[in-house]
Amino acid sequence: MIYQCKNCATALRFNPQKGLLECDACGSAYQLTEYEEPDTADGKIRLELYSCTACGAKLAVNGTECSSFCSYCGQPTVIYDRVSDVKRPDCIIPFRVSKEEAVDLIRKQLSKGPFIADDIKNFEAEQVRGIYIPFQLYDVNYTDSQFWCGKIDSFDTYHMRKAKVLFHDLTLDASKQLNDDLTRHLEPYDTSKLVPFHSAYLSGFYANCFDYTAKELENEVKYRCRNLVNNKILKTLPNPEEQHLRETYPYHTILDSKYAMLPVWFMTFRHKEVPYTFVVNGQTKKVVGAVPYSKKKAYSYLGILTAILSSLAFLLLHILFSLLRIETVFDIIVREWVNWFVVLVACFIGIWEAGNMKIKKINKHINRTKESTLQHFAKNRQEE
Amino acid sequence: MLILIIKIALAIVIGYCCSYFIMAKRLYASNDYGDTSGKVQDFDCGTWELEEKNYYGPYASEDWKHDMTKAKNSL
Ligand SMILES: [Zn+2]
Ligand SMILES: [Zn+2]
Repeated sequence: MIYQCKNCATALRFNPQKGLLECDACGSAYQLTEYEEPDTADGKIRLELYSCTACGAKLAVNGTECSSFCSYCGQPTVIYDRVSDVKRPDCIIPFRVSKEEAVDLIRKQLSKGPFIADDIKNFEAEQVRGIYIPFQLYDVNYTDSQFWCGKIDSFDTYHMRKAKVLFHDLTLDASKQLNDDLTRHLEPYDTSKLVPFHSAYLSGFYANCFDYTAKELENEVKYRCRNLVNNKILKTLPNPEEQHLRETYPYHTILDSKYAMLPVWFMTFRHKEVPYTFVVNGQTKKVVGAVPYSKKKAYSYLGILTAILSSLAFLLLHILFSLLRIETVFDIIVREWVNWFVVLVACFIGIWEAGNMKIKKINKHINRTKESTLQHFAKNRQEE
Repeated sequence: MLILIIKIALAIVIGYCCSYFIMAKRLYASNDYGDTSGKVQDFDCGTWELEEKNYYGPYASEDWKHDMTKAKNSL
């Protein structure tokens, strides 16, 4: 459905900052209420589907924006697929962030990073797409009684935990094309700003297709509720590593669910021929993504810092040794300082390991940004 | 002489480990955005009621089992 300017018949675009439909040609602006939506008695809307031949992504377009680059893999391999009737959403959070703002947010983040390669800082931001992602929002009543037993200092302990939770607008990504980990990082959305769906909101934007079945999503709801509850309960248990869950009686009822479209900006850029996709929450401006670090920058930083801190440590050790009157190796052995030194080294290796965990996390997130996210999914689907 | 080598070795270990940690921390702040997995897990949509009961004393295990059967039957 294309909405045309009443003045000059040019296709209109939705302006996120003003919340109006605007005409690029003559500058007119219209309220959405000035346009009637076509009859949607069958609960469907008509959209034009495009698909990417490189990664298999499918995107729906309402209006004139035509695709040349794939938002997921950054390849110029997008072709027109067909007109399709898709399930009509109940509600929508319209874009609040404009394209320029989204790119600025990412650029601001990247320009600050001391370890980011210069060519990434000056990224080419041509492939920017505003995409509405389908989400299913659930109100769930969840109860559970859990019986735990375990040990504290070799004493047997017994615990019961009862949870009664009323989840409101639990958001669940309803598009298989997206990495769930990624969409979860985009949360939270302010669902109090949901408005009834109008297809004019899609003008100038893309939409992802709802491709989960209700059954699949309901399983996911159960799983997510259980995870949230279990995590919370685990925190209340004394000595949780030594506790075992003996019996659990989970029960959930879905009270209400609605299909909503939530706004996400996608921006793909290339670094050494590899595409990276950053996403920005189109409502809250939250930026999600990780970029590779320049090894040269990181290692030179590490080298210089090591030199400085080691000299400092040497000075302190020198003072410590003279205070303790350690003059020869013999003193260390006879006065049993060896154990203390082992403990000291172990502590610092612990600090190193904490840093290492962080690095592993960064690498994981960089991979996710690289894979975001269709290539991974498309590959899985082909293997089936 | 040997004591000097020990001092240097210890100093390098300390210096390197701390530097690595600081670098990792700065790298995380510099190159990784939007990681709030902790917060997402703790998200507050909804109302929570949590009841905790810990069993003590000589009959702890019997009381616990009793409550367990009760919970099972009430389903
Ligand atoms: Zn016009
Ligand atoms: Zn693609």
